Amino acid sequence: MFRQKSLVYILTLVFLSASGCKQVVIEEEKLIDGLELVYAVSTEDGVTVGGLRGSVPPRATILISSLAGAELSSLKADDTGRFVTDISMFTNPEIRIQINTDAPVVFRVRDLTTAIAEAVRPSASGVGYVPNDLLVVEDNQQLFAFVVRSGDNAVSKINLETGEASGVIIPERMGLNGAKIPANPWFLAHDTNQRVFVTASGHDSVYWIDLETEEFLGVLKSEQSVVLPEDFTLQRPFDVDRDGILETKVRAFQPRFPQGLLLTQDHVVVGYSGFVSPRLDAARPAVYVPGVVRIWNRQDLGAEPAQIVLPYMNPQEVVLSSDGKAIVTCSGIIETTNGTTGLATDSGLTFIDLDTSSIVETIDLGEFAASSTVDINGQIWTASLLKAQVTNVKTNAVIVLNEQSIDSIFRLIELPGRLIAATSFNTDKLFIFDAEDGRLNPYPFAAPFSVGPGPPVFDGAQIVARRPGRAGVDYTGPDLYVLSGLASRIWSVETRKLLGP
Amino acid sequence: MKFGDFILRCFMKGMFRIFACITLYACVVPRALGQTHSSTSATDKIEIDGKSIVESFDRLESSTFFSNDEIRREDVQGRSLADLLERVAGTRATNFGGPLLSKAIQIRGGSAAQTEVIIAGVPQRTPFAMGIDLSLLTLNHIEEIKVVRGGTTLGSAMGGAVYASSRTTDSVPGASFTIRYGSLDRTDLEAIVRAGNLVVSTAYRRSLGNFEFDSKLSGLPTQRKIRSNNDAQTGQLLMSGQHKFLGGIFGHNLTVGIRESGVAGFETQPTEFTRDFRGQTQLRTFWKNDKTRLSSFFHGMLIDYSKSDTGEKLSETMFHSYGLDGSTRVQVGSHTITPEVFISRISSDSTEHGIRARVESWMKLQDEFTFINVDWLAQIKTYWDSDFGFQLQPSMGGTLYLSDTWLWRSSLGRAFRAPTLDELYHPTQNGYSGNPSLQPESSWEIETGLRWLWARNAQVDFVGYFRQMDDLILALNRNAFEIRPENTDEASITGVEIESSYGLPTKFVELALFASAAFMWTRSEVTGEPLPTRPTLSGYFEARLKAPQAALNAFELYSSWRGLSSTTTNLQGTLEMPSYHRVDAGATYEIFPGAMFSLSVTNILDDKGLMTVNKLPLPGRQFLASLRVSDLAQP
Repeated sequence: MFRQKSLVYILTLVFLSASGCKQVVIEEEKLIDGLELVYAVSTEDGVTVGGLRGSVPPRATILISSLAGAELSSLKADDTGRFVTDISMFTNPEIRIQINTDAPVVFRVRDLTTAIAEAVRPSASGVGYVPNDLLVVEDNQQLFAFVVRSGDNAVSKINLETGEASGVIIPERMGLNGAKIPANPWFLAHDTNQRVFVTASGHDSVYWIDLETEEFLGVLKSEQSVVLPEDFTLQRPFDVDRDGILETKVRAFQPRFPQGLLLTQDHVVVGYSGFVSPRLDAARPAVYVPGVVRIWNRQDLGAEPAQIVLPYMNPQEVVLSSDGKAIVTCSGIIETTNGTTGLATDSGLTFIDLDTSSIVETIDLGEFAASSTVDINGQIWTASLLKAQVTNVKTNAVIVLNEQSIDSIFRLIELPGRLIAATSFNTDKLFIFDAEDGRLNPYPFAAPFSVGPGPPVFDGAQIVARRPGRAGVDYTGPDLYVLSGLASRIWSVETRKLLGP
Repeated sequence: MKFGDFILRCFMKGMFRIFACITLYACVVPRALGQTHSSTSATDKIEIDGKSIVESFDRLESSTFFSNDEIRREDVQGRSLADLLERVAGTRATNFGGPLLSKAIQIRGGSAAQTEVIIAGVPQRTPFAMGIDLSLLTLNHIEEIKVVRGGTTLGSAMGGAVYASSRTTDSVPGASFTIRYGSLDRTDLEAIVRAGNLVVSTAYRRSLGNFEFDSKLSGLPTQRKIRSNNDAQTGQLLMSGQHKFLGGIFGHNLTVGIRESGVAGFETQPTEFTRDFRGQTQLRTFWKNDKTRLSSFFHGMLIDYSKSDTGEKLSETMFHSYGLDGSTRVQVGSHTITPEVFISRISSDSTEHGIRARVESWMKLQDEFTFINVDWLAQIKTYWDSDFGFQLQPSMGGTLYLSDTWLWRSSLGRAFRAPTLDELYHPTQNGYSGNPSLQPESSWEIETGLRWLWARNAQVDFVGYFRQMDDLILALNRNAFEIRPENTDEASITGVEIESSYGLPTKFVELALFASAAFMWTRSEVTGEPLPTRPTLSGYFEARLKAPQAALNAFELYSSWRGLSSTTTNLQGTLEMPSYHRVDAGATYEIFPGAMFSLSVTNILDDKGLMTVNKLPLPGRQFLASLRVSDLAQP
């Protein structure tokens, strides 16, 4: 199969090179399987050729030669299908790579600096006030960005090819005292087609919305309270139960401020951060109640959800582990006092068995202020809201993206080749690191992508989302999209500027 | 809280009743206090550099002047000071929504904080960088206004300045009272009386303020919503008097303004229960003769935010400034030299930024002379304050009559603005903090202009300018948790302003046209984008038809258009603020001598999508009917 496709590719390449047309060559690359993770980049004294994990079969033989046919290098891939070799004194713009006995494929030799710069371009601008989450979804051969606009109480749908925008405004809800309560939507999870679930922190609810028809399909809300085994002392007196009386302690309360959201085949899992009131001044700190996870059964969304009180405060995100558990990432309460931003409570991860609705494991992360977690084949990496750092919670290895005293990584996502992408809010950088060995900026991602101007007026690179499918196989063009929270724009990144033939 | 603060607070809290009583009393017995009148020969009109603004065409800055007649005409129609100032080329009012809510003014691309406001000779100060709230002033208390565009000579006015003088016995009839009623349940009561050398004016206004508006968010369907918690009631009091004393004029002026209102919040994030109580009072005394002026002033301000549902106090700020200033004019040969000194202490006791104080002073030496047929004015000003030390502000300008109908003017100067106390010392709360290492922002500005008197009752002013700003103070994110003001790189503003007036008297009707337009290009070097909330194009056009002087009963019809091009609301230039167009109209009719009826319609096209800075919605069509009855005795 591979050989046939490669042959077609070579013939087409020869034909089209002669005709001077390169666009169709790129189209033809779609047919090549696996090679989208192979790269050839120029170095100071030659060329580095390599492939990410899964780029070639395990222990495959790789033969590298010039276009004229002169053999330059021969090596074997490792057990994961990864390989890398340096070829000195080679300056040609193209190089030929042959995997096992397949037909050789011609690769462009990229200049890394140029390719990294060219990979990034603005994709959409003015995506609303306080955008907080991004999904990239393909439906009916159209590519959309779904954006949660917390400041606008809306979920937007932007056609990334035409720039056309539409969306749904979540109506205000009337409070007990006649006040209008904005929905304050926060996170998104993709259901099917253009259907999404969105947490509405202001309404303590989760909305199920069809962005194609702009219909509200349902609301996940429960009136049941959580009852703690003992009183929880509030940070300051506050009327948590809205009965007009200030409380200093609570034992039973309604979960507040849904934020993190995970959709599995059977469950809708929602993390309630417990946020009640912001800090007013030095003497009046922010008020939180304990974080809670609610688990709805997707087959019966009208049934009462299971409720789990978390051992750590302020859950940020819920993701699925490689063995099917829900990982709840709790940052702890972040407070700024006397000009210093830090944690008032410990941070940690909680692993929940969704079938039994029980906590199966916790990992204490102390003052790490965890924000986002990715589990790739058991390698669990968590990012920090207060530092540009990522830690492997099993090995305690720490990757430092920069030395800023305060920086935030709001989202980690998995990339092909067991890589992880992480955004630095303060510097507008998109970093890539290797989940297996913790190497930052692994070849060919020799430097982070600049997804914004950086300090002093940075865009606030916040959420990174990946286009579904395989870049270079299922589609051409950008494969990563970065939502800038401050600039309200989306940057696109085409990693194929560094990878592939 | 200090005893003085306590007294001031009690005074202001009880003032609404006082205003209502005084206003009603004055309405019922308008002549009671106005029986005697003796006008002083020299009144306290606007003075700049020791000169009446009518005396000279400015050499150092472009300006627009509003006479007492113009202000009275606008006043009877119920317009606010900010409404009036929006006519000036390149100005923009930051309107917080309702007819009685906060309004500040931006001039020539400056921020509201870069606009200096001087009321009756008292520089208005605030510890916050939101600009001076003009809605605490009423046009009924103002006699003349001069708007200076550009900041070449004024201390903290990098954008421009507004000078307003208080009513004097010259312009006040024996007594006058006004009642208004209109949309948004607006009710006004105003009274002004002249008693001997004293003018007493008081006003009480209220509005429920709630209105429908269209929420237009980019890429989302338009939603009809209701703006609530937008009510306000205000009270104002003016007592002003002048007496002959020691060969000159001794004057005193007391102004009080208070407001209790809702804080409606942003369009999509309304705040239903936040209330704002604020008040300010100022007292100025002065003595002057033809050459010398000495004055003292006190300015106090209270700003108090709370929650009406829980009674929770959100913040409280008591702010004072007081000081002395004086100037004299000396003739040395062909040079007219004006030395001037100013010293002031400002202090603030706030839950926002603690107890803070600053002393500021300046000395200015000004020389007027003629050289190569050009009338020159050179000025050197040395500013000092206890936080930032010395700042030097040189400036120079000249005027030349090219012909009987053409006048040329050019000027160059430096301006700066010291950071406010809150910009420096605000603690980190809710994601915002002050920056103690902040430095003053400064600018150099050069401008040149032509005035063309192209016909009788017709005049056109053209001005082109360029401003280079350094260390511009912008609120920037330090990280995801904290925004604070920072000195950024350079920014520049290049612009052209045109103001034109044309009067056409005929036998049956008099036509008066006024138009202003400003083109402005801004650029921040740090972002490479235009500065936010600065529309490239702004314009105002007004047409008035009125009965000629000889007519038995005066009447006037007017219509105006106000337009602003689209701009952006964030530094990155990605969030668009749509363009703004508003058409107003109205009529005034003198029912009988001394009784004037006025009907005005604001936003006559009922555009419910109008927004102001930072997307705060504005009301649709509003009607306001006014009746003013004045004493027949003319001053």
